[in-house]
Amino acid sequence: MGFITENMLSNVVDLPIALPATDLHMGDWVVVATVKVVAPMRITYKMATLQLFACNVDTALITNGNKTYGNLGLSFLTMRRSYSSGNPGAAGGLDVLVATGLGTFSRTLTNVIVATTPGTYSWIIANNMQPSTDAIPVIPPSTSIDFRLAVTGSVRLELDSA
Amino acid sequence: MNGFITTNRYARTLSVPLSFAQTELRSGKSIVIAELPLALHERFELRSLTLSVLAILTPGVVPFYLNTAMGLCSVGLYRGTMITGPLAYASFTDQNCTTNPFAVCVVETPGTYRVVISNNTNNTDLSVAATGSLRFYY
Repeated sequence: MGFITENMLSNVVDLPIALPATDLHMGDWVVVATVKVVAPMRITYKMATLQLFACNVDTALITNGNKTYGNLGLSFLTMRRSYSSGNPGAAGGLDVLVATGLGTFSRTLTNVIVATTPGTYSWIIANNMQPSTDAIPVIPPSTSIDFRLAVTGSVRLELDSA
Repeated sequence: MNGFITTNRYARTLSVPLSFAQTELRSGKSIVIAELPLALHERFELRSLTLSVLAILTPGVVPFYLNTAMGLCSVGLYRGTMITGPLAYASFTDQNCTTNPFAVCVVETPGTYRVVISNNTNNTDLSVAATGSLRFYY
């Protein structure tokens, strides 16, 4: 490990992935942050926290039939490359942070994502709920399952990865 | 400057986030994302400011530009309160546009600086997001 010079520090930019408390309706998603990477840049993604403050229904009543994607919990923060539109839960995400209930969910800091492939990287928060597909729904399909949530995180952009 | 950084020096640098999650921006409107007062002997550098235009919410209209040079939508660093003469800005050219991170914008003049995202049309609503960071030295 070498020392850091002023020039090196100037070439490192810590970019925010931040969403203040927001109501996210059933099936909706919001782009939280976008970073454009060109050669020879590098991004390093370590830290993100997803907090679910509130839900308009009892989360204990939510079944797998309410989930758009069964493995993505109630809500999720995903990192995608070259995202333009469409449900962000579809295959192809580089990383996902899943919230399985109310509370705070954080990435494991040792699970580092490093990307140098040129492109636009986006972080998208999504509400993974849909009208129940169960034969006997616990929550009426006409009820919108909404969350109040917030995201805090950071991604490091190094302008010259060489 | 290519000297090594001491812990004291490092403690006097801050990364200031510029974050604007996906939001509906109505035609002709602008929103201040961040505001930063700069005093004498302080300095900040803007390296990265990215604008994402995620959706056009008024389909089927021909955008009428209020300021042709600033394109459909733009995000910029401004001194003072007027949306003229940005010190650095990214204007809509494709879905994601960014300032040139290799051409750093260094600001040392004392004053109040704002980062503003603006819709430069009078008939087209947009869904936009912006992400960036300032490095602040004091």
